[in-house]
Amino acid sequence: MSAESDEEFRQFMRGRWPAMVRLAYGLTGDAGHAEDVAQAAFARAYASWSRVRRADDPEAYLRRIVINENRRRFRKQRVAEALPGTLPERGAALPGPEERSALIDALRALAPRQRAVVVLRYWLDMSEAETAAALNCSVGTVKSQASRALATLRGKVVEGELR
Amino acid sequence: MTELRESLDQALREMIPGDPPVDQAISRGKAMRARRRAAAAASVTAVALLVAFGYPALKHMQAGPVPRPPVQHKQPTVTDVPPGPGARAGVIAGGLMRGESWQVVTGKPGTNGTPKGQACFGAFGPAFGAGGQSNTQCTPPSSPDAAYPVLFIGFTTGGASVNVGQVDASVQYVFVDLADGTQLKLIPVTVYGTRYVAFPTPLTVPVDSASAYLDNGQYLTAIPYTTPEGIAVFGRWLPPGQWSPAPATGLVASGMADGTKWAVYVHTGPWGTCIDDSATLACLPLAPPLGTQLIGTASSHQGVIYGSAAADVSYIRVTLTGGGTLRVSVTAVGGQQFFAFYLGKGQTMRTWTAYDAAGKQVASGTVPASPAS
Repeated sequence: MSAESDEEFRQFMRGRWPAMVRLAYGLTGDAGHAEDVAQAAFARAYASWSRVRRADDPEAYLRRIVINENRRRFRKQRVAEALPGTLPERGAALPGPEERSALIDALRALAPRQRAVVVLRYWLDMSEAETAAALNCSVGTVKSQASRALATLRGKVVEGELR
Repeated sequence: MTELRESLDQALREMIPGDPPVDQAISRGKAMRARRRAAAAASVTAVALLVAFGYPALKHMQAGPVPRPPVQHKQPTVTDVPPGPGARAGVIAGGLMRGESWQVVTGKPGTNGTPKGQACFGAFGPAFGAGGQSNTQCTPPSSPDAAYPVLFIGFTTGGASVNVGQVDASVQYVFVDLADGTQLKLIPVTVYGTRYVAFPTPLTVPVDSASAYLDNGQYLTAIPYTTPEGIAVFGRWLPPGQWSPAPATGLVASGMADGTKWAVYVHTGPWGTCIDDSATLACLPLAPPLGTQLIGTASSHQGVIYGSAAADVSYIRVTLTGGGTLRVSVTAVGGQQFFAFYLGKGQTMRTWTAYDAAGKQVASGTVPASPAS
């Protein structure tokens, strides 16, 4: 890639980094994982930079990469969760209380797909069809997952914070 | 829903990202592009080699426990280095797997929930999925020696297989060859009084062999059995040039036990003899000629007993404590013979007798304490 393209990517990443980390934070519910997911997504974007920069909406393209990166990591995580065992030591620090809010805690308690539906539908304002396409599932699944997720959130978040 | 959006926006904005790691992203992106190009080139090369040399060339590569000479790869799938100065306590090894970092650690014996008398191992790092993802495996201490210089325990986590080995004092280093041509040099380190090596591999890249180089200048090589889950199980360590049997798999016997199905499979090969009762895989350093012997009981069904039989054995008669008898057939797998049978509740085994095809007794044994009890 030329120095000019590299500089273009640098500008692009600096401008979109906070939004993509927050999107990843919403999808993962974990601050540490969020930066990992976002960095991996930007690396993929760099690897396909000519395609990303030519896209009609490069930011939407990048969001899609973040969502896919999170799905890819969730698949890996499920393999590990299916196995028995306890940790003798912890490799990464858990997010501190200052990073939490009642809503984030409630989001974190949702199943990963429900969390993704909430973030894409209600934070990014994506349509049901766009959300379904992004998560590689049917519109019916988006509807049912959204309904269950909202019911769970209403039950968990203090009344008044989420009306 | 506007209020939900605002609440989400507020909650997510509580998270203040650090500075964008632009250089790291570019570096990883360049590595991704290089891997794509290498994969494209490799697929073309593989097709060309198959056309040029055909299947016998591949078959030839499976024969004999001879380690490859050390090779250098520009993009190794896995790198493995011992912990450097200042590494945190318990680290056995670390490195990169497909560009993501990993570490294998062991807990201090007797602390952090480690079962008494056991050692526990954990795998950490982005190489195993989202950061900090891990699975832990505990095992009682084992005793490697010059004949079995590395005793490995394997487990899977985050799309990878992890092997941790207890290493005999005579071992200077261990070479591990992966199926994609990557070669790892493992340097033993002493952690909490025990010598260890450790390495991960992606589940898609199995281990071809491991060679332990001893301080007397000799080496022993082990070719593992790879389980369907992707775990390499090392059974036999052989000096160069020693014959080892070709891989073979077969169903020894199956049936119903208390309403559930049981089955015993055997996988024989350079690794020895692995017996799979569908719940546990036991790999023993048994190689031909196998005698007639009881080997063990199935962990999935306590009444299922299995063993090996000499080449001249046609069937085995088992005498039960109540006076009844049971005739058990033998099954050939990879040129060796095995048997398995089920004893129902309340039945215990007293003696066994092996017969040849002519009905002549060729071996016998007693069972002081029934494996089924």
